[in-house]
Amino acid sequence: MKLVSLQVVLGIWFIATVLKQLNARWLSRIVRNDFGLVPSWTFFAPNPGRSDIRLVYRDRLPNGVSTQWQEACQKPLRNKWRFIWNPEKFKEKGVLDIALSLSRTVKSSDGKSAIAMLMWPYLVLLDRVLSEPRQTTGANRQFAILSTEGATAPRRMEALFLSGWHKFDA
Amino acid sequence: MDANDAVNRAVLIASIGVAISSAEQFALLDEFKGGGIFTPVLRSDSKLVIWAAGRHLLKLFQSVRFLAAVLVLRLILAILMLPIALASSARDWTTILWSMVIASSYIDWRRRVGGDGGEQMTMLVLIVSAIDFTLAPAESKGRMAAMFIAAQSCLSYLAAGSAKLVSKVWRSGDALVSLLDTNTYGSARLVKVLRTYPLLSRTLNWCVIVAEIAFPLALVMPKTVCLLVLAVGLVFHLVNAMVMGLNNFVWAFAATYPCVYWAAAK
Repeated sequence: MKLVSLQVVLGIWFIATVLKQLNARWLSRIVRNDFGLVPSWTFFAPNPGRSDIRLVYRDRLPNGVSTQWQEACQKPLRNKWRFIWNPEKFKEKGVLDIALSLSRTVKSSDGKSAIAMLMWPYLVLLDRVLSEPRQTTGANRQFAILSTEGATAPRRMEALFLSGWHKFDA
Repeated sequence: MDANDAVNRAVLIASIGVAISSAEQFALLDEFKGGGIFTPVLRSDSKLVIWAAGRHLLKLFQSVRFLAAVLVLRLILAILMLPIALASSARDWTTILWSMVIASSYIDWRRRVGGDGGEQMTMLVLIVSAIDFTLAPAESKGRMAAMFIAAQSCLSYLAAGSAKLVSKVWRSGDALVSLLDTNTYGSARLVKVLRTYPLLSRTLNWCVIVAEIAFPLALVMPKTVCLLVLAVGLVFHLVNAMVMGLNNFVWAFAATYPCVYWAAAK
């Protein structure tokens, strides 16, 4: 009996995974959260991912002058051991996931970025950029998500999101 | 090699990946604190918060110290699992296997973002092995888990190859160069070579597509051909790890290979 139950469960699980590859939307309506147990195996396809997602920020000083954009979560130099040890991949993928989630939220709210400000992706990115060092007190900070094409300059850039200005705590 | 051995080897290889992943995330602990990319910004994002006890529990789960403890625990469990799986006796140590599954689920929940297909495959291997070892009678000798893991492995390659085949960019032969011309997954040296030799670039593109789609054929090929296919798969993931930094895919997908080989030899 146990064996038959196990066969049924694993069978349904596998069929669900097959259906997920076919982009069955009705499946995601039935199973709202599959906890990552029904994966989509379409790695780097159909879109191979031609761009990098970058989180950048700038400050507006008390005299009204804005500083240059700087990158938060900068990628460290490649190390030759990354085929065995690569903690940075979690961070890079984390920024990518949050940035894409924020862009999707803004798109689905007809570009009303005020709504996005209430969402967790916005709050995480804001918290992240506010934790970057600042030069003076009394400044405001703004962040943007950029999509850049090309590993070396000159790069093609597109701004996916631009936040409002935020004051630092005290 | 019987199904039990295949599943034990799958658990062994997956555990190596889990150990490395635990240590990697431990090295990133600062990113789990306030101001980090994995910070728990919303403190009321769980139904647990309705009860006072739930609030305390949520606070504990969100603390970096608790996370650090779970990461260390998972690292120790994964290392402990190596000799057990090597001796083909993971069935007798399901507590360790389930503890690894629970710890991994907690870490995924706490991190919220930054996961990938390699982690998902590792999780599938661990959960299905744990379920089989717990529920299936010993006489079935891990056959259900081995079949499921082999099927998921073949499906993953087939789906990845098919999605590339229907993609204009992949068919055009430009996908690899585009992908490698990024800071995240790229290699400036390889991009230069591929731009100098467009035919090589196109050939490599199509090699990836064809090899991924053809992978499930390993199940019906003679044992030696199956081994060759698995060796090619392993080299593919090693190259991806070196060039793109996807090191966890090596362990995650290599973990499925003993089950694919068992299914092919059956």
